[in-house]
Amino acid sequence: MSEEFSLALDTSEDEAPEEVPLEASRAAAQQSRAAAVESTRREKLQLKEKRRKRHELFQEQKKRRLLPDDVLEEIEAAPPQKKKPNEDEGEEESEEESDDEGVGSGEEIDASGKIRNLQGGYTVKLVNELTLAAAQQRAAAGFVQDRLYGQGSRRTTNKAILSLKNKGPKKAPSVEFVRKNWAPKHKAKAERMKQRWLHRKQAASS
Amino acid sequence: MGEFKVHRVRFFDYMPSAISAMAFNVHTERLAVARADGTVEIYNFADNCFQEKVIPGKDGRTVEALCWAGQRLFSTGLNGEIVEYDLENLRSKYTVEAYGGPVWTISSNSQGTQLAVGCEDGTVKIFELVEDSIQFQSNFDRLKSRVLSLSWHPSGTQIAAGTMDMIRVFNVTTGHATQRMMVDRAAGANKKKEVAVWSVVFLSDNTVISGDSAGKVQVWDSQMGTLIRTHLVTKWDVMALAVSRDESSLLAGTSEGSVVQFQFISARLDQPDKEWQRTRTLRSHSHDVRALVHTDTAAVSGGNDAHLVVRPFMEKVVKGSKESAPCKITFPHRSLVSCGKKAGILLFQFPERLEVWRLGETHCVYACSLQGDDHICCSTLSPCGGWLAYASASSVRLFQLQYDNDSIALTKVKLPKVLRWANQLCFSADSSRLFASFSQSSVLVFALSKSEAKYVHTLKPKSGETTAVHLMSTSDDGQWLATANSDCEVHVYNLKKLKYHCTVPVYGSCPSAMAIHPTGSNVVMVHADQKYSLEQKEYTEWSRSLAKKGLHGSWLNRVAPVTHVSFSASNPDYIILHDMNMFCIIDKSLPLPEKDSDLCNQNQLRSMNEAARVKDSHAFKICEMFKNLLCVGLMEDHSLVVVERPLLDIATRLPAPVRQKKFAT
Repeated sequence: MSEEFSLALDTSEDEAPEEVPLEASRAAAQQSRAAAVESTRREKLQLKEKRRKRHELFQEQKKRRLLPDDVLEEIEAAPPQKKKPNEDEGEEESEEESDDEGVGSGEEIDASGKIRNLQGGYTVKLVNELTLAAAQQRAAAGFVQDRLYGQGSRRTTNKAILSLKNKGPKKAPSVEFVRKNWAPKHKAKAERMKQRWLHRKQAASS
Repeated sequence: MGEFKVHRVRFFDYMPSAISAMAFNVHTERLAVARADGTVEIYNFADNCFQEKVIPGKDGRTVEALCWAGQRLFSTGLNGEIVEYDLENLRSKYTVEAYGGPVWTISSNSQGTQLAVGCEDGTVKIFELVEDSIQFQSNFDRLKSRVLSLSWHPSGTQIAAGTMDMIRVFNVTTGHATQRMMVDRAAGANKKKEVAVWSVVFLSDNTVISGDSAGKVQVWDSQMGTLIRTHLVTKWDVMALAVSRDESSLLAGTSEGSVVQFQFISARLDQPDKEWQRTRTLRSHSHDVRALVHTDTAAVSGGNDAHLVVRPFMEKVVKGSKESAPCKITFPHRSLVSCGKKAGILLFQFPERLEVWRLGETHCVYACSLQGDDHICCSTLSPCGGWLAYASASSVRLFQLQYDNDSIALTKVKLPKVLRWANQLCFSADSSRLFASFSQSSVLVFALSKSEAKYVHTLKPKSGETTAVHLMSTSDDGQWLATANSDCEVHVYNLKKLKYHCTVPVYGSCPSAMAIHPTGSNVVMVHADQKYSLEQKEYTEWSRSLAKKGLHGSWLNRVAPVTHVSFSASNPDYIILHDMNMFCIIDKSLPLPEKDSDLCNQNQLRSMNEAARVKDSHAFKICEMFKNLLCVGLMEDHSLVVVERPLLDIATRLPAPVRQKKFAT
C-alpha cells in the first residue's frame, strides 16, 4: 500500500510533464471545435425536423376539420354573385346550376341564394350584417347580465327556492321531484343500441 | 242550475314579462309600467288600479327607463333612442336618436320643460321639450364611465348623476361638474369589482341619496361632497330608489325582493335633529325589485317576478277602506284567448306569435309567427271558426281557416290599404263582417267574402273623441255594435243603417268587460270598480234595482276586474262572468243577495234540502274551483272551457333568484 502511494507521488512530483507537440494539440482543439459545431448543427436540424413534422400534423388536422375543397369553392363563389343586381338573377342561377352539376348531386339552393342545403346534411346560411348599434346594445345588455347574474352573484334556481318552501313541519316533495332529463347522452346511446339490436334481430329472423 | 262539461285547459304557456321601469304621474294619478319586452302599460290608480291602456312593444326595443313630462310619456332603451308615446292611439309617436350609445336613464325637471338622459359613453344630454317634439340642447362634461342614474334637484338648477364608483353633481346651466363623491366598493372578496350606482335621488335640502350594487344606501351632502351616513341594506344590489312628494320617506328596492323604507325622523322624540332612519321592510317579491314608486299612500313595486304590488302604508289610510287593501296584479286586464264557439277551437295570443288549438287535442294545431318587429296588439277568431285576424302597430292581417281531418290550413286574405293598424278587432256573429277600431275612436267596417275583404263604411261617434277603443262587441242578430274606450264612454252603433245610435251615460269607472245580450237589445257592462249595468238607451229595471240595492260587500272587495262576459244560448237569464280567481253565473230571475248573507254559498246550498235551497239561493252563483283563470267561455255544445295558467308554472320559468339562507334549511 505504501508502495502504491510512493509510486503515485513519485510520478507526479519528480517527472516533468509530457511534451505534447503543437500540431497534435492544435488538431485536438480543432477537432473539438468541429465536433461542437457539428453537434449544434445536428441539434438544429433535429429541432427543425421536429417542427416541420408538427406543422404538417397541424395542417392535416386543420384540413380534416374544414369542409371539402369543392364545397368551400362554391361558398366563396356565392357571396360575390349575391351582390349582382336582380336582373342577372336568371343568369346567376343557371351558372350556379352548371357549377353544381359539376360538383355533385344531392345539393339544393334556396331561391334567394342565401340558404343552401349541401350533401352530407350541412346547411350554409349567410348571417345578417350586425351593425355597431346592435353590438353596443348587446354589450350593454351583457354588462347588466354580468353584474346581476355573472360571477360572484350568488344566485340559485327557482326550483330550489320553491322546494325550500315545502320544507317544514309538514314535509312535501320538492318542486322537481323526478328529474326526467338526467343523463341524456347515456339514454341516447342506449336508445341507439336498442334500435341496432332490434334491426339485427329482424334481419336475422327474415 | 245545470251541469256543464268542463274542458280544463292548461297548455297556454303565457309568460308575463318582467317589469323594468315605472313612472307615476301625480296630477292624473296614472302609473306607467314598462316591461322587459318593450310593452308599456298605463294603470289608473283612481279607478281601482285598472289597466287602462297597453302599448305593445317591438323586437329589439328594450325599455330601461320611463318618465312623465306633464302629460307626455317618454322612454329610453338600450338601442339608444328616446321614444315618445301617443297615449290616445296607443302607439309610439316618434323616436329621437340620442347619439350616445345605449341610454340608461331619463328624467324630467319638476317644471316639465327639459329632459336629461344618461348614456353609455358617459355623457349627460339635455333635451328641450317643444311642441310635439324634443330638441337637443346641450351636453354636460363627459364622464369616464357610463351614466347609470340621474336625478334633478327640485329647483331644476342641478343634476346628480350616478356612474361607476362615483356620483357627480352638475350645474345645469354651465354643464360643468361641481362636486364629486366617491362611493366605496364592497368589502371582502368583491373589492376588485367596480360598484355601480344604480339609483340616485336629489332632495331639495341638497342631500343626495344613492343606492348601489354593493347593497348600500348612502346619504351625501352635495354642497360639501361628503358622506353623511351609510346603511348596509342587503348583500346584493339596491336597484331602485323612490322618494315621497314631501321628502319625508324613501323606499329602496333590493335584489332580494324586499323593499326597505327610510324615514326622515329624529332618533328620539325630544331631539330636534332629524336624520334618515331605516323603519320597515316590505317583503313583497321573490325576485329582484327593479322599479319603485312612492305615492302619497302606498309603495308600488315591480320586478323580475312580473307582479305589480301595491302596498298601502297603514298610517296613511283609513283602516278597512278600499285604499287600505294591498293589491297584486299578475295577469293583464284584457283577454288573451279567443274562442271559436261553433268549431271548438281556441286562439292564444303571444307577443310575437299566435297559436291555434283544437279542444281535445294535445298539441298545437297551428302556430303562426309575426312578420316584422312590432308585437301583436290584438287578435280574434270568428264564432264559426272560419276567420282569424290579428293586428300590430304597423299591420293588420286576415286569414281564412280551412279544416282538413286533423290539420288546419290558413290562407291569407288581402285587406284594403286604408287599414294600416288597429287597436281592437271583432267579427260579426255570422262571420260576414270584420270591425276594426282605428284612430279617433272610429270603427272601420269590412265585408268578408270567400277570398277578399271589402271596405264598407266608417262609423264615427257623435262628438269628436280621440281615445282608443279597447272593447268591442256585436250582437248575435247582427244589428248592434258596442264600443268602449278608456275615457269611460260606451257608444252603440246601428249596423243595419250603419250609423251611430246612442251613448251610454258616462259612469266614473272604465268598463272592463262588455257584451251584447243575444235575445234582447241589452248591453251588459262590468266596470273596473265591480259595478255593472244593462242598458238599452236607458238602464233596465234589473240594473236599476241592482244599483238601488247595492252590490254585496264581498263582490265589491274583489281585487281583479272581470275580464269577460258571455251568455248562455239555452237560458237568456244567465250572464257568465269571470275574473282571475273565480267565475260566476248570474241568474236574473232569482232575487239579489242580501248584504249580510254569504256571497259564495254554492257549497252550502248543495248540502241543503229543496225547500231551504229555494229560500237561500240568490242570483250570484260563484264557483271558485278554478284558479288563475285567463278565460272562461261557453261553447255551442254547452261545454265550458276554462283556460288556467297556474302561478307555479310561471314561477319555475322566471330568471334566477338570489340564494338566501333561511333558518333551519
